[in-house]
Amino acid sequence: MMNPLHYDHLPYILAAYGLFFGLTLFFVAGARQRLALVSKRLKTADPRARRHEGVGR
Amino acid sequence: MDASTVSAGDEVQSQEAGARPQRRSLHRFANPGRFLRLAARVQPWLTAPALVLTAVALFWGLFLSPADYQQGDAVRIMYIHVPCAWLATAGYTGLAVASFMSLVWRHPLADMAAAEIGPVGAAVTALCLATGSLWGKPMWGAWWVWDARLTSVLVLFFLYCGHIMLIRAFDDAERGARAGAILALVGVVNLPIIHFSVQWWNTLHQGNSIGITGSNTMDGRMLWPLFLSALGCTFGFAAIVVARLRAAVMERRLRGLLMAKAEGVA
Repeated sequence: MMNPLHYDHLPYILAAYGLFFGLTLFFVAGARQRLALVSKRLKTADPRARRHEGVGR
Repeated sequence: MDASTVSAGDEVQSQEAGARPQRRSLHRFANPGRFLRLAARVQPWLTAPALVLTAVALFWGLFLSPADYQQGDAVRIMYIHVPCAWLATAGYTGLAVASFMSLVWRHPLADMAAAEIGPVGAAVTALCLATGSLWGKPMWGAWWVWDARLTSVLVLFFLYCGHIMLIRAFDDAERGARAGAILALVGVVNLPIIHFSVQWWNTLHQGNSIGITGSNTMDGRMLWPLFLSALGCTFGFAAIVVARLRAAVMERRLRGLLMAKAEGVA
């Protein structure tokens, strides 16, 4: 296994992977939060909303 | 109020769709209730492979795969740059297909799909440009060159941004969706330009290293982590779009319910 500390151009590699993970986490967290919020509000507005559709989880 | 916005309307649509002879057609998934049920079931099957495949691929690419004989370790940026480039064009193809379906069948689910693919596609295109720039600086000595491949991908990014802004620029959401759909379909002309730019013009960007016809010029120790990374990122892209689309369908249903209640009170 390679030792990443000895890689040449390490700052560029770190910056690229940092951007990738940062943006991915931002979108995943955003989608999860939006889904949780709307699902909760829908369950409150319509108690008959169906759980198997992912509502109210 | 649109019948597709409330749960009772979903049942009516289901019954109507059931009576039609083309019951097994793709249109049955356009029912919001059915889509929500299917999407809730599919979501974990997209998320789990995305996490596993991306983790394995990036570990392989970062720690196990060899450095390139010319580019050194900077080649490791490829394991995220190439999947982002693939998803930028694949995402736009999905956006164009949804736009086409929206224009032909006028179904709100197709409009919502196009609206939800847009921001995710713009993000991966921006990521493709940024990681390409980070790869280009140590290899070419420049962050950016007005090369045909780079410029055509920048145009793709502007198309995504234009679509995001255009669908929100109208008071009437349906008119916005139609204008956005037309823009998305016009922008499809950029996809072959991106693909063939490295063949049609002399570019600083390298030519295709991987071909469907088996014309690969890449070593297997690099090809496998790249393939797994592309697959994992594709699952991840789909998982994020499905989650956003589920939220959009629920928001629409919630709006319908609140409007119905408000009309009942008035």
